[in-house]
Amino acid sequence: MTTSERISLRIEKNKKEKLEKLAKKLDTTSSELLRELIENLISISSLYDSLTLETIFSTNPLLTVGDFLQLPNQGEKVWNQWFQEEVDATIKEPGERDVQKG
Amino acid sequence: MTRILLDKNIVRYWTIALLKLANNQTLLPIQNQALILVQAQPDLFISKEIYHILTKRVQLPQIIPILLNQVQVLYPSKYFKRWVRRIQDTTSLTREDAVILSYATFSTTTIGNILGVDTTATTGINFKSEYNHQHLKLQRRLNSMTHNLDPPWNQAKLPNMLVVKENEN
Repeated sequence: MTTSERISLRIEKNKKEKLEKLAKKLDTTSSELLRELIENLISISSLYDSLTLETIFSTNPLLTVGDFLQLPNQGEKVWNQWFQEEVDATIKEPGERDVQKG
Repeated sequence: MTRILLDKNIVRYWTIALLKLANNQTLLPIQNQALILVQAQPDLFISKEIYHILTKRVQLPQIIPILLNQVQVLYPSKYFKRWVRRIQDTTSLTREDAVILSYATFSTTTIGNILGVDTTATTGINFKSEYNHQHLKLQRRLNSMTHNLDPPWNQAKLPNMLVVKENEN
């Protein structure tokens, strides 16, 4: 790994940690406000990985994955991110099944 | 019966439609169209990836069983990965679209009773456009790949493409 790659990785790690800390602190009683905050946070962070999302969902009972999926832009981005991650796994290890003859 | 593979966006719109119905919310036209499509078709399939998303990532116990009750899951069969590569060599489709297209041709259920599907349902206008544009080339590549194979592989076929338009919402 080059120095530049290491620095880039460190920056991403810091951003992720900050986002997770912020997500844990959100305890507003307004679900609308919470949704807006989460959407803004994620849209500026460019982090959609599953671990971050799981942190958000597990620490904020007012925002369910169902709420999140309905967010106009972020819902689609998250869904696509999940699909890409699943496709990565399939391409790496398809786990091919047999087909019956005839 | 026509076997239809639902792409990731159709399943997402369907999931949201069920969520909204459960909460007495109004559906957007595209969500309504996804719902109409799945209600009208008895032989529906989703890919293994979408199954994993629904069961492992989307924690919606009131919704997901309804979806899963109406679909069968497709898994890659032999030649799946090779066909993904050839689709990508032949077209400008994204890797994700190439994977869906490969599922339509080289996939099967848990009991291995089918090979591929008849139709792929998608919201991707560009997906359909590029698929139609390169259909002849894809058909030739599939023929050259399968003509010396044993059954059932030599019966593998390209799917029809059904587009649900996103711009109608």
